[in-house]
Amino acid sequence: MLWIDSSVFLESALGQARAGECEALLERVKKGEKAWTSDYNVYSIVLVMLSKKATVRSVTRFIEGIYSLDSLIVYRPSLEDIKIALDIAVAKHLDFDDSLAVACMRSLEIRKIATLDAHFKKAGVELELPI
Amino acid sequence: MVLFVDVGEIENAFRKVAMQRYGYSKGAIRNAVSEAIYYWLRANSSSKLKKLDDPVGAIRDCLKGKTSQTSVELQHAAIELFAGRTQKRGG
Repeated sequence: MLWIDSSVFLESALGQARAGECEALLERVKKGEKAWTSDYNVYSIVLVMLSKKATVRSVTRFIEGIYSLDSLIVYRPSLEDIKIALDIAVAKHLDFDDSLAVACMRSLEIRKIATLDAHFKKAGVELELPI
Repeated sequence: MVLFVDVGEIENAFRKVAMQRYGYSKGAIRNAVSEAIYYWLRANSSSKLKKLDDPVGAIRDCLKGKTSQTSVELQHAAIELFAGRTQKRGG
């Protein structure tokens, strides 16, 4: 099982240098590889899109893209996950959004993360994509 | 409705948490199963969203040209967007 960080979706959305790798990974999920992300990641991307003046139509299309990836589970972190995330943020010197991903992964017993964020190198998780 | 489902290895963990939450009563498992099904339905049913044949294509390039920031910079900008709104609401 694989955790997908919001940077993977954003890289594809931005069409930046590593978009191809990120899209190849999402294609694997489309074909049935089980993956997880959090509702926090979805909110974050929607907020970012709106702040960059993306149209409601394109934000809706993004949400429908997420919805149509049948093997992608959008996990809602529990209150305990949030508490653990705060502890990890302090212990590992991570931002809260990164530590929340790590807390969710621990809760779901997921070891591997797909991300472009180098902060995860110090989080004690396996990286799917080279950073 | 009566359902018989083999949930495999999560059964023991489910029973344990159901008892913690609802007490060690006969109805604990039924309440927990009902709640789980309710939340699953809420999380997965939709009459407003379309199923797309090409979900990856729907995500691709939807922010292209909107910013010069990287994906990781944008990811961390989101937390500031959350915080900014909180501060405004806090007055």
